Amino acid sequence: MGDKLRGQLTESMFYVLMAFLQEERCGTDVAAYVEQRTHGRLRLGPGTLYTLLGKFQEEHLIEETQVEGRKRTYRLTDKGRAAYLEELERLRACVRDGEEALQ
Amino acid sequence: MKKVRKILPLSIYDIPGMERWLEEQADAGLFPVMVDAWATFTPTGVPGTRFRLEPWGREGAEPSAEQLEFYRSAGWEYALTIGRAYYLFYTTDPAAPELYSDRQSRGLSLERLEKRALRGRRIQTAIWVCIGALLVWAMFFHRSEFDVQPAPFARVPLLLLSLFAPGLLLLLISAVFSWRTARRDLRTLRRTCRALKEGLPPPPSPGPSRRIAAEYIFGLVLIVPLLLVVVFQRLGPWEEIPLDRFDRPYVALQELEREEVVSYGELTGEQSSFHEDENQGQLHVSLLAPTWYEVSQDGYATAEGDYRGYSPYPEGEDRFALCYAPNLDTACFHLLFPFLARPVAEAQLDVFRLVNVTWSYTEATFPGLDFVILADEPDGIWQMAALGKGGNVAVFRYAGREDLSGHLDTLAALVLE
Repeated sequence: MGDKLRGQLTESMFYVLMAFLQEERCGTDVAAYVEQRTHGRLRLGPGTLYTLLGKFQEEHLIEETQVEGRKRTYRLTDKGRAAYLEELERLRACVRDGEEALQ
Repeated sequence: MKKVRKILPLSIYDIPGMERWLEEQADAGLFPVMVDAWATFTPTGVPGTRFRLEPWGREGAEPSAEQLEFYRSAGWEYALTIGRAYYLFYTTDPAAPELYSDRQSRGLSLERLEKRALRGRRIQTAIWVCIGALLVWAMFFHRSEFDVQPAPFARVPLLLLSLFAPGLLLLLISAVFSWRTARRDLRTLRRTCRALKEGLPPPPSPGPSRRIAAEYIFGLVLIVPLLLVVVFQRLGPWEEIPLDRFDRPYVALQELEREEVVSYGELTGEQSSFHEDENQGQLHVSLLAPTWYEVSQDGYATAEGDYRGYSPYPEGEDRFALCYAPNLDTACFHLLFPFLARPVAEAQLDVFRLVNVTWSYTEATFPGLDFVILADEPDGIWQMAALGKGGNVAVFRYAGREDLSGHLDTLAALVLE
């Protein structure tokens, strides 16, 4: 997890990091990926997306790979992948706890 | 195109309040083209327009191409930049999504603005503290190695008078005022930022306020007299008035002297820039002292005699080297509060005191005066006298052959008038 992004990732942060797991993407691709992945449940606002990309870059969770005119492409760093996996583990534990509580 | 100007009735850091106020202006047909301490609108507003303040990013005065692309694709357009705080985006499309899909990311977006405001505040405070500390040190704790009779706090009453100079007073009022406003704004921003980052709604906006609008107006109006005072003091007839044009009462040097003394110009028939500030008056302004001025006089005896004053020529090299050249400096006050008379007199004596001279102080009496303080340099040429009656004070520093205590009637006339 980023040094300055203390605590857990928000849902938007989690999905933005997820978007970079398999491939490099530009901002609009990230927004489309998140919408598709969540079946329209989560639509990232342009402000949210722009802020998170900037913040993740500052925290070295993603890095810029290409600039083509207005289009910037990013990829996940090792630190970003670790932050994603850490959050995934936390969410798994939450789900596990929740399911156990039901039994 | 006709423009409409309105004073901002909200703090610039009341983000929801500012957005709502701009939307109300759009509903009234006004579109912002400039927002600062006041906002300028053109009558091109479309009712139902939504405005959103986006904090300044890393890119500088305008949003980055990437940001513009994201926002445009969602139906939002860039309108203008507000100071070094925000970019203003707007949309007339009711279906356009909100810029932020969650509060935390909105809170994160404000982090940079919050940090910059906080850093600015800290730097401002540090500068004021440094200036204050430096002034206090210079005024009260710095001791010259040549000062043989240091009195660190002796000039406090004069500092008090200076503090009530209209220019300085206005400057202090405006500094306190802007510090208070900045503190309130920063608090609003920090509360908003903290709430959003915790996923909570921002604190409710107090909405447009006449008080805040009045504060902006006051801040703007204050600049005018401040500038006038500064310009007038620099360019006005305050400083270095030749005595032939100086209309305040003073004791002429010749009134003390038994022999004829004249100015350097009169003695030599030539003008010298070195001597041009020798006979002049200077006015000071303080709300505590409606009358406060200083007069400086240098005279040169027309007959040759012992040299007792300053001469630019080495002794013996020219005809002026042995010329008797007395000097009289005077400071006059009419104080609003008579209880300040003696402290101010003592402070002025300290201002006139030559630091490398050892002074001997004595009290004297004179009919009609509240106090008379005499000071002299044993076996030297310097003397001082401070006289007071009610709120009237006159302080003299003299170098010459005469004994000031023998001229108290002449000096007293200045405070008994």
